[in-house]
Parts: sequence; structure tokens; C-alpha cells
Amino acid sequence: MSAQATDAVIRVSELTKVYKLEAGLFASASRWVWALNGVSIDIRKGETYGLVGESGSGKTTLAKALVQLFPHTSGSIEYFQDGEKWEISKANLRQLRKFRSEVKYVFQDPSSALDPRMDVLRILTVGMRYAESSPGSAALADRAREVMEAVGLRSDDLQRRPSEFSGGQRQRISLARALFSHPRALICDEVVSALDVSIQGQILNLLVDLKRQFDLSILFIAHDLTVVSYMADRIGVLYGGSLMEEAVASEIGQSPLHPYSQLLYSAIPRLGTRAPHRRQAAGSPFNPTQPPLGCPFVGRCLLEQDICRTAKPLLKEVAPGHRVACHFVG
Amino acid sequence: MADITEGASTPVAPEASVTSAQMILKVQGLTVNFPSGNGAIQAVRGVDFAVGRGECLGIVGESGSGKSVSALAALGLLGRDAQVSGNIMLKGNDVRRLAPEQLRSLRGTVASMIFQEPSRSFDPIYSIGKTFQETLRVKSPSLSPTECRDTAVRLLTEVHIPRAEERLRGFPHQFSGGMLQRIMIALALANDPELLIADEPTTALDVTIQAEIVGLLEELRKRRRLSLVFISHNLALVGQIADRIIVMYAGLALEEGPAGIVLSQPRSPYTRALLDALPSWGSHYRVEKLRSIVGSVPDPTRREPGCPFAPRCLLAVEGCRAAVPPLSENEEPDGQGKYRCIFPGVKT
Repeated sequence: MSAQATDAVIRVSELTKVYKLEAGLFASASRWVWALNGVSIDIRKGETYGLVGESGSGKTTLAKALVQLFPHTSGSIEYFQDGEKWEISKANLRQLRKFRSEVKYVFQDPSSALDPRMDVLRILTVGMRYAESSPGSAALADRAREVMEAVGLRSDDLQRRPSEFSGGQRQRISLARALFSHPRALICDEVVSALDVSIQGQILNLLVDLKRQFDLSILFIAHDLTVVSYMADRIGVLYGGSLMEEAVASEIGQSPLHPYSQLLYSAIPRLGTRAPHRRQAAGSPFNPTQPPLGCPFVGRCLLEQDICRTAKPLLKEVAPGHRVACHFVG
Repeated sequence: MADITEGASTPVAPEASVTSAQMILKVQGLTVNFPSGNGAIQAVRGVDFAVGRGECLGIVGESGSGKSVSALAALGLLGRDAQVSGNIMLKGNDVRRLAPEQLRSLRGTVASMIFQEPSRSFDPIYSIGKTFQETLRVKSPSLSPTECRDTAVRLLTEVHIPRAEERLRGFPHQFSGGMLQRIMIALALANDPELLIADEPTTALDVTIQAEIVGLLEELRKRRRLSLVFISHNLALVGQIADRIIVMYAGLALEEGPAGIVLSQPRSPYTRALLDALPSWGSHYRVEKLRSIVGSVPDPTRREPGCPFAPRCLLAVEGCRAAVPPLSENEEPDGQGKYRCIFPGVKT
């Protein structure tokens, strides 16, 4: 454990996020959505941590809470910086600024993440322009040219606007913006899912290059499990806001241990296989508006017993670096 | 068009033991243009395909390749501004020559279609039962509410919706995406069509639900001898269910053939590049780099004369840019299918 402690760039411990569900015409007062229910993960230096799970499993909530786009309900997010450890929700303004310049979020849809009225130079520099630490507009323009080249675009493209670029190029601009402030970690939330198949490969290769070149840690979220298995060093499987399993990517890909991971990985369409007869409908999925009790997967699980409804299984280490949250595994 | 008699007289290439008489849908020389401010958009530029009874045809392509437009044209569903030419025979009926009401009588009974994002295919103010009633009464206006309900329950049970009777009182927003797609399939089957066209039916759904929907389609195909056209951008997914695959790019079919052959021994460099561009199961970035495709998808308003893939193809020579290569037969000893390339099967 102590070796891991020095490795971590970001440590999430028992993170919980409960949203109040009060918007909407038919919503009654004080209903809650339990989006994240005590998730603990480490993102280590230079590693890509892949997060997989179905929609509503809490992947994006975790990613957004991680950069404090909203406050979390309980738990902690620690950032390791030059031998120091900052708890982000208690950090002072200077620390928070530094954290935000070093941990950057890259969004799914590059066409809505870039302001259409700004040219690329402004998109890249606008965040820094008003910062106290701004080195001045000439230096910012130099840096803009550097990051454009790092993502495979030409520096004369800086005067153009997002609408003049294709989807793949726009995603490169998003990445350039993230790289601008010399980050240590990138949060990549579905960064290739809005792109055409022939373009996805370019962006994935670019991410790998950037990660190597700048020694980045990456939290990589995608619904395409084959893509996550390719990109990630370790993978965490989320369901109903809880971490069900976590292991080295190849290990979880070859032999997932949690019943949910097994269901998820067996559903991946693989070349050279035919559709199996899968007559069974999904069972009852996790309902995030009920307070979580027991295992979130119980409604769909084939191993389901009474204990699964009453006691939430703890994440336990079943092999070195392989953690599973199931009463019947390990 | 002068060639309306062609369907019956032309000898058809051996199509996985299906003869032309059993073809539900046969499309020849389909082109679709949309007028637009800066020149016509050439969405489809001469595509042939056919689907036999109980057969599944997969159409694969990226956005703008013309895969959805081809399917919509096949059912006469394109708007009035679309300029369609070619020969479209739907169970012996020339779709382009039918009057709107004749065409309407074929939809639902001969062919149905389901779409991406099932939630947008439902009217939010109609209950599921009401939606079924409306659909069923298009063909049988005299059905009583009880008869409609019984038929709906039978259909929902067929697509494995539990507690179907109770579910009929529900409204679309009360169902998950996967459930709605099942209900959509049940609605599409309400008037016993022989052909179902599924346009990216699982794209907005989770991978577990995707597997269930594909499994359901496969089951319906076997049980009802339903013919399927399955459209997707995902090669591995189409490979799960299709017997034959057409790979489209920039409005043209660049390759077609039996699914196993197209996916394992592609003759077109585009198909091969698509297969190589995405990670294969079990590969890892620390071991191998992806062989990504350079450049971007071509602009549909500016069609160049040559092979549309030439600007991105590693094999391209001068000749590729001069004219679109013809669709050639695969003449390998164990080969079947067709491709458009002057360097078939060459690995880059």
C-alpha cells in the first residue's frame, strides 16, 4: 500500500454524490438521486485508468466531481503535488487554481465544447489571459503554436474558427486546450464517441503519444469496452454508483470475476463471433432514487441471495491488484 | 426508367442459396441527390443490393456514406426534394412508380423500419397501448379495443417484455431505451412484415442492451423467417448478425460479400483500413499502435472523379484518382463477393 501511496496523482476515497431531484413539473419535493455511493480509486502517475459501466453508472459524475465541477456530498479527493497532499474540497484558492491548471477535463462533443465565435487562439488562451500568472500575450501565442503542433495541427490554423474544422480536428483543439497549461492529468470523458470510426483511431493514437510525451495520467471513460481495454492500464467497473471490480486491463478483459463485469464483457461484439441467443431481458436495473442498500446489481444478478439485498459487499482484494465487490467471489 | 422488367430477367449472382424469385427487396443502380445551395449533395451514387427471405444484409459505413439514405429510399421514405433514380423492387412492386397510398399499404405489411434512439420514435402523450391500437387499426380499422390489446400483449410477449398487459398502460418516458426499442420492434412487427430495416438500432444503447436487441433480432429472423437489413457503423456488431455485408463509403459500395469473408479477408483497402483503425479485442496500446486512417470523411457536395477513398488510401496511384474503379467479382479460389479496387486484397 505504501508504494501505491507515492504513486498516486489523484486519490478518490469513499466518494459519494447525491443530487436533489426537484426540478421538473411532476417531481415531488425532496427526492434524491444516489449517483455515487462510496467509490475509492487511485489514479497513478503515468497510468491510464479506464472507467467502464452502463449509462447511469456514475462514470461522468465521478469525472466531474473529480475536477470539482460541483461539490461532492461526502468522501475525499486528494491531489498529490511535489510530495504534498491536498484535500481538494478544503484547498485554498492558490491550491485550487494550481489543481485546475494541472488536471484538465476533455469533453465528449468537441463541437459544443468550443465557443463557435472565438478563433482557435482565443479558445486556447482565454483561460490564461486573465490569470495573475499570465506571461503576456506574446508568450501565450507561442505556447498556443506549441500545443497546436503537439496535437498535429498547423500553427497557422490559430486564426480559424471551430466551424472550419472537422470533428476530429475539433477534438484535437480540445486536447490542445487541455495541454495548454502543462497538465499532469487529463480527464477524458467519451472523447472519441462522437467521432467517425476512421477518425477515432487517429485521436486514440494521439492520446497515447501525448501521454508518453508529457508523462500524463489519464482517466479514460468510454462506453466502447474494446477501446477502453486497449487504452487503459487498469480498469474500474462501475454499476449503480459503486465500484464492482478493479484490475489490470488485460486481467479483467480475459477473466472478469464480478457477475456484472461478466455480463458486461460477454456483451461486447467481437469480430468472428455470431450473436448468441440472449432471450433474457435485463431484469430490474438499479434504481438511483432509492437509498442504496445491499448490492446495486442484485436485481439483475444470477447469483442473487438474501444477503445481497441487505448487506453491501465490500471491495476486497482477491489477487494482487484485483479487487471485487461480491459476496460470492474471493 | 426504362428498365423496369430487369428484376426478373437478369441472372443473379449466387447469393447464399437465395434465388431472385425469393428476393423481398432488390435495389439496382440506386442514386439519390439532394439539391443544396452549393451544388447537389450526391448521397448515393449507384448502389445495388438485395435481401432474400430470412436473410440479413448488413450495411456498414461512416456518417455521410449513404447507408441510411439508401434504406429510406428503398421504402420510398425520402422527402420530395430527394432526386431518386434506379430500380427499387419491394416484393415485386416498383417502389418509385407506386402511388403514395399503394406505397403506404406496403409499409408495415411488407416492410417496416426501426430507427436509432427509440425514445424519439414514440409520441410522448400516447400510452403504449394507444400506440399499438393506432398502428394496428391502420391495417384493420374495425379491430375492437380488446382485440387490439390482445394482439399487443402477444407482440410484447414475443419481444420478451415482462408483464405485457400492465405495460400497455405505461407511457414512453416510463421505459428505458432498451425496453422502448423492444416495443418499437413489436410495433414494427404488428402487421406481420416480411422485411425489417433496422437503422443503427442499438447506437444509443448500452452494450449489454445492444447484445439483447441483436439477440432478439436474430431470434425473430429464425422464428418468423424475417428478412433484415441491419445498418450500423460498427463492423464487429454487423458481423454478429449479417449474412452478407455491404461496405459503403461516399455514396458507393466499395465492397460486398458474405460477412465472414468481408470481415476476415477484405478485398477493399477501405474495409481493411476500417478493421485496422480500431483496437481489436485483446490489443493494448503498450504493445501495438493503431493503424489509423489519415485525413477525413469526404465532403458530399464535392465528389471527386476517382475512387472516393483514394485521398486516404496508402495504395493509391494516379489511376485511382482518374475514375471510380468498377465493381469486380472476387475471383479468388475460395472468394465470393465484389469490390471496387485496382489492388484487391493487398496488405499495406
